[in-house]
Amino acid sequence: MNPTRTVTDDAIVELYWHRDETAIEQTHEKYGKHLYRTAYNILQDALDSEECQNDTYLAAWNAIPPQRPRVLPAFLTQIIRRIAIDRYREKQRQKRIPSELTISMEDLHESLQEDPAERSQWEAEHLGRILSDFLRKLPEREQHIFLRRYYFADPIDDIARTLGVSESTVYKQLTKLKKSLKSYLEREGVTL
Amino acid sequence: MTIELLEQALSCIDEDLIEKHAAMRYELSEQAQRPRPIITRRLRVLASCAACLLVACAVGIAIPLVQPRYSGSDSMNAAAGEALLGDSSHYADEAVSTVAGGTQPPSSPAESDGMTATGADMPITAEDIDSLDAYLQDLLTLLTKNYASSESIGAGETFTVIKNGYEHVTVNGDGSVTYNRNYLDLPVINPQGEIVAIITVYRHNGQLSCQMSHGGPNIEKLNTLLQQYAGQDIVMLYVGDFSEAAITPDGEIHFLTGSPSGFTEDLDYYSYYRREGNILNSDMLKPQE
Repeated sequence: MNPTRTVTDDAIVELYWHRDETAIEQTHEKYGKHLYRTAYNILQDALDSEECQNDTYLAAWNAIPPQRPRVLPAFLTQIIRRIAIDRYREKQRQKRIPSELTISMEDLHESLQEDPAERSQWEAEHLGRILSDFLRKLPEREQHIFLRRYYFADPIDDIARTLGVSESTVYKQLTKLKKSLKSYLEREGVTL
Repeated sequence: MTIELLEQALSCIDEDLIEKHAAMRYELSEQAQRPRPIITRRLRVLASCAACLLVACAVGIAIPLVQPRYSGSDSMNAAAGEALLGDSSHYADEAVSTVAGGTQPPSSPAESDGMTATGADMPITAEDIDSLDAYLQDLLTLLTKNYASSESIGAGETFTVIKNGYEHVTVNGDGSVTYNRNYLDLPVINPQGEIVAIITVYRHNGQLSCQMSHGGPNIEKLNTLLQQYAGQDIVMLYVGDFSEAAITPDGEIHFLTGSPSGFTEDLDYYSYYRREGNILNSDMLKPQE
């Protein structure tokens, strides 16, 4: 039996607080595979996913203290998801054809918006609040399926396997959820 | 709405929701990597064998007894009861006819005092079931005789007891869960794999006993559910006062006896799904060759 499996989350957080570098080792031991899978769902690249893992450990090291996560796996998952999405966007940008047309169009697009970043953030926060309200109205199981698919980007077969149901059940549930979300957003006046 | 906006909006979902489901995701993923419950159960059976032997040496194993009682709404279990006593009027009272001075068992599993696998009331093991074998065979003979002219069984066919049954898990009024591992329900099936009766094996104050299920699930409803969700795990639960329910993989709750009451509406059924020991699956109900 591997003794490191018995280390509690509180103990790991304490290690971070005491600036003990074994905190990273223990985090990797306990949550490494889980974090890797989260990054891989988004990036579909082993090397990139490993780099995201390392960046997550560094981010956790920098964040704790002063932060003291209530739920360590949730805290780490949120960090790695953000890092993986940033990396994904960066890769998407790099894939664009660097022609003058792309550059000029982006330049024009940016100049036509007053403050695109600010506006986009406001819209995202507004939509995020609506999504939260929508999720809170759902039974916990449906919330979980929705977030597993659309927040954590888990594959359908993985969701089905961990919930012990068939893939078609998950698929049907997601179809139903998407339909409900569409009606909900329309009722809330969101332009689709 | 652009994909970027959607991505950003998802990142703005309330943190408490994300925290809860991230933790749940991790737990479920860990659970899925653990051995299947049947293996865990076997290990538990092995681990408890030594303790059972000690208990058996100290107090002796009680001679199994039967108390045929039934829920009035359940015609199949009623018929099974009649097979045992011949006259349903004999088992209207709550008395238990004990052999070798057995003690009075609780009148129903839902009334038990939160018994868990401790002390004298150890979990029911495969060895316990084996020790009841001769008795179970007698029960089957009586049941078969009673059903001989019905559609459930043809000439020369017999019923089968499924010895890998399901444990009692009770959801209490405050939403907490009590594992009554000293109770095990064994479905009795006909050659078509349909349940015709349920035998409850239990240990109370160290004594091993069995009885036709009292207030157990409505068997017709249970069979319908098992057909509808063939090959899928169904979670069996006692909910509140005398109600037996099943949770299907789509998260729906089906009351097999009783009906939804105040607190049952607020239960988080999903969290009771995938519990160990109280799973029933149509694949378990295969007649022996």
